[in-house]
Amino acid sequence: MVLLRSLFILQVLVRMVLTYNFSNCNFASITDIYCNIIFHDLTGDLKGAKFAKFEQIEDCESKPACLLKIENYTLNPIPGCPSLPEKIFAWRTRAALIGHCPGYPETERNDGTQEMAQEVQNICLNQTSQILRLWYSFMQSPE
Amino acid sequence: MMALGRAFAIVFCLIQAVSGESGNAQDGDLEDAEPDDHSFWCHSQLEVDGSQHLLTCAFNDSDINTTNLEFQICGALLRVKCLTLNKLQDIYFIKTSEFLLIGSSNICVKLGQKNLTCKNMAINTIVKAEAPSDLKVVHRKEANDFLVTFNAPHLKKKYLKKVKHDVAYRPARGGSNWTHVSLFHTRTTIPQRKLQPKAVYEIKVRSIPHNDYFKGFWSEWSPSSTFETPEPKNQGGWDPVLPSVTILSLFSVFLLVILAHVLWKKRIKPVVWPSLPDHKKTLEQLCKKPKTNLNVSFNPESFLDCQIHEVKGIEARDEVESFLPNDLPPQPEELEKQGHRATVHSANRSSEISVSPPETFRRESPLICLARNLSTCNAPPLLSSRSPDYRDGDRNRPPVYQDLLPNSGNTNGPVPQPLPLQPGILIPVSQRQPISTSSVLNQEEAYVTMSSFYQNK
Repeated sequence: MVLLRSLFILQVLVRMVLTYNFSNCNFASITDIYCNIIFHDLTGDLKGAKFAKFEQIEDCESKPACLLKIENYTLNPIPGCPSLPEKIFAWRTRAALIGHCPGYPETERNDGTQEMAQEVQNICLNQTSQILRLWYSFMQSPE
Repeated sequence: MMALGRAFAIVFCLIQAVSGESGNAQDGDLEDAEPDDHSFWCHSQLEVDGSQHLLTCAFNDSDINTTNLEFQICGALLRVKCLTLNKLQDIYFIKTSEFLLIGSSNICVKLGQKNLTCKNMAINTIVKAEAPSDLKVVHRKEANDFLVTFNAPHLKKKYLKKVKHDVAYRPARGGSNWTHVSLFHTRTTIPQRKLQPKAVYEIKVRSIPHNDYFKGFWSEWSPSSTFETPEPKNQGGWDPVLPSVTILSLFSVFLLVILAHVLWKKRIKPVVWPSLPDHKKTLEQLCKKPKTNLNVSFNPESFLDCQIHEVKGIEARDEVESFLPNDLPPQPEELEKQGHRATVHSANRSSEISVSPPETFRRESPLICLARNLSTCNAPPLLSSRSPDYRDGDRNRPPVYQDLLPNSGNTNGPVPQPLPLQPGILIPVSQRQPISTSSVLNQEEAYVTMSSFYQNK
């Protein structure tokens, strides 16, 4: 029992320290998924709000780096937008990573804390626009 | 007995085993029954109702007993693991927005809890397009073709926008083969020459996904439309409008050419290329024609018929001395001292020239020349001091008005000897009648004046 407990803790720690390397992903397939599906979901979620209205701060220089940031922004809740990982584009992003990134773990979704419970529409829209900006960088970045 | 019983049992079993129909299983005994063909097909339709998609499945064998059979899809779903399709007669379907549209799903035929047959399918690869609608055909007489238009519902969808269309047409009667036309737009034209004249045609259209990610099947055919081709034109005939316009244009051009040729000299050329003015003719137009019987001539011979009378008796010499050899006209005071007066009358009073003595410069009107072209009329005749024949004190000889002579200062031609003049008398050159000294002087003076004037002119 002690051994099992130790192994479990060690696994959690390793998972926290080590992040997935997206260099081995099938970028062509992920690009097709983004162009035909995820892009329409993101723009539909913004509901015609002007893209330039939000600040786009995050940027990335390579496709693996972009996917890392996209995963971080899409699959983790943030204060003011706890429902972000439950949105359709988030599910599809995860499915694209699982299906075309060998060894990508199907990580458990992090439940938001009580502080994140309150939904603020502007925060969700801002986060969605950030994700869209990261996808643009992904499309233009080299492999 | 025992042996006979065993024989009958064996035979009975063999008969039962051999005589039984293939697949004839007893109730509940499915293991010995030939399995039914539960092969099936499925297709998906995206965004049929807002964001909801439609999955439709059915058995390939329509005679199959579908009782207690159901379809289930698992995997590649958003928030659920599996979904069970609804049944409508022999068709199974489900309308949901839970399709992930990424990756493959497992679709199984289930009988209870048991999977009869399963297939792995990706929803995005079994997309069936929606059928076009509002198919219309319009005949364009000017272009000699038929314009075909229709509506494609995929243009308004979010995921699958790009589809390929197939337009098929054939004569309504005869049952001939369909003619197909592929296109990516929602309009096309059919040239009239490809169609039979005066025939009724049937036309329909369908669509198929044309996308790298979404693949699938042809849609159902749209409702058919019909159109009729016009009657054929007469052989050798032509459109009467174009030849008529051509003939009218040619006739108009021909008429214009003739009119231009006829009216060229009189009307067109003077306007287009006006002629330079002729100075002689212009002068004649400007000047008034002299009246008939108007003898304007300073030739002495023309005054042969004139009667010239002396107005007063004037001493010619005194008169001559009174004229100084300068350019200025004599002052009226000086002229008054002379008391001379000379008047020359011509036969024609309309061109009268009067040479008045100094005395008369004040009393009478000054020298008047009524002729227009007399430029020297303003100055009275002057005595030149350069005359070689004039000497101071030589008063016996009549004065010679060298300045008035045409050859003064210029000896190009023979200088005629001036005749002595008598004031008031104009004597033609041809008439050399003996006259008195004063009268001769006056005559010579008048003659010189007139002749010099004529020469100057």
